[in-house]
Amino acid sequence: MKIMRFLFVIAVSITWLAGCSKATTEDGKEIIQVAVSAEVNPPFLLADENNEPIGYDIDYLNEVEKRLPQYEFEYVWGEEESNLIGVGAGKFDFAMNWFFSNPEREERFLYPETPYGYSITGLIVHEDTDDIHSLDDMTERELAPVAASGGLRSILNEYNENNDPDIPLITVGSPSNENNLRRVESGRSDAAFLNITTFHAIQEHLHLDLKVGAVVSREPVYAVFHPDHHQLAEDINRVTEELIEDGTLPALAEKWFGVDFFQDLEDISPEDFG
Amino acid sequence: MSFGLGDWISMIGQVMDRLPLTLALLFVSLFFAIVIGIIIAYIRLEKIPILHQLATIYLSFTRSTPLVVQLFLVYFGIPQLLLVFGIDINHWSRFVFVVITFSLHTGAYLSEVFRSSYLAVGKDQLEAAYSVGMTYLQALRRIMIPQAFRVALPNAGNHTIELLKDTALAFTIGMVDMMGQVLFIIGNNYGVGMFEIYVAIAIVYWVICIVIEAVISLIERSLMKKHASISH
Repeated sequence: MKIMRFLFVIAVSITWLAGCSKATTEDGKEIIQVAVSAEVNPPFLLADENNEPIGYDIDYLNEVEKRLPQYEFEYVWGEEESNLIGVGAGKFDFAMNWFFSNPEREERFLYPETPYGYSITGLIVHEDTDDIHSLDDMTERELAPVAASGGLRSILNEYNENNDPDIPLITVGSPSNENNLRRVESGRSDAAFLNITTFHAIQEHLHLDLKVGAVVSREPVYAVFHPDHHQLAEDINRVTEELIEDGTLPALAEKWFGVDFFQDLEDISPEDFG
Repeated sequence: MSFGLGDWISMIGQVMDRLPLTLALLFVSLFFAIVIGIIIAYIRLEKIPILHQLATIYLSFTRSTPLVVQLFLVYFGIPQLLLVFGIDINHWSRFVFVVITFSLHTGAYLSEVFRSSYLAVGKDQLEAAYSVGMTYLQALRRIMIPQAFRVALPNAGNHTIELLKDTALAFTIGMVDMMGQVLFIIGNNYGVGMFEIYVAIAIVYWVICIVIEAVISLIERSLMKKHASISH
């Protein structure tokens, strides 16, 4: 993704002079441009039959919109890297799609304090595999191919930076979850690293001889804001806290994921995803 | 998930729903690309000062940078640049940005096609036209352009096909064209059935290209008739 970073620099240097214009609706609401990732990731985000975004992310934003009458959200599809460039350049106000936080991104963007959800990542192994319980067990094994960038990759990169020996990684442009899982089932790979909810959703179609070998982490996910949008980020942050406290978001999590990920990680075991 | 006939039909149906958008992108961009191509070719042929140098820089830039970079520059860069002058075009439809990018991109290539085909006809024919008393415009219309058009056609056809495939990039900035629909289907299915969907979209693009090729060869053949010569 070096090219993308290079593009980002170009886009920013071209646009450094620009301020942010404020568009409003007829009844005086401020229009907020929300970039949603076209690389859909159900159940966080997916497209309905009219290609409108739906999912946990959108249900959450609808709740936020209800409580912040001064804003109106307008959703714009775009590929993730392109969305992040757009947020950096001020074209969009914030980007949405289960963004993990990492130091590199925190430098470039404004992150709210409170995550609006969690992504529970895990190692998916063959039914008969009983000796993979954490990432530590993967240093001598083969992990199915992973993408060059993105949230899952950054977890693996961080592990490899902090631990020795490394987990050997095979990098491909856009790994297919289906292929990866079939690799694990056939024994060509020992485990696949992905979102546990994604795994269960795929299993409903494929019914492979696989299981969750280990829950690796519970990653907080955030909306990512343009660095100058303090007011907007604060407003949304406040509402997010309210929504978690009054049970709205936990209920949405149950609806889309079948598990309330606002509980502690210790309380969530592989069996919870039965 | 195994793919039955019904799944294939519904999948191709979903993709074909986006065909009008892809074709609209193709034809609108192609129209402006031809206009740009003719203007740039004229400027370079006539070596009009200043414009000639600017056109050369434009050609060099457009042909030496990836299309996706140009798309980002047009989509993110130009609006911000204009904001400095107080002009806000951020709320324009993405269709406009995509068409601007593709027109500029393909226009650069077409200008070279037009220029080379004009040169292929040769200056001596222009001089011959002058010698029988034609004006420059008459010579262009009756002698140069009809022949240059014939030379340009196969290459212009190539660039049309190239442009069709380039339209798949529109999804980068979120325009849901045929390729965008494919990626939505893959994403909504968690990547299940990726291979089948790529086979389907490959066939769809292929068929469109075959149609374009057929149209071009039809035009070529009809031109051939008008251009009957002794040797063939």
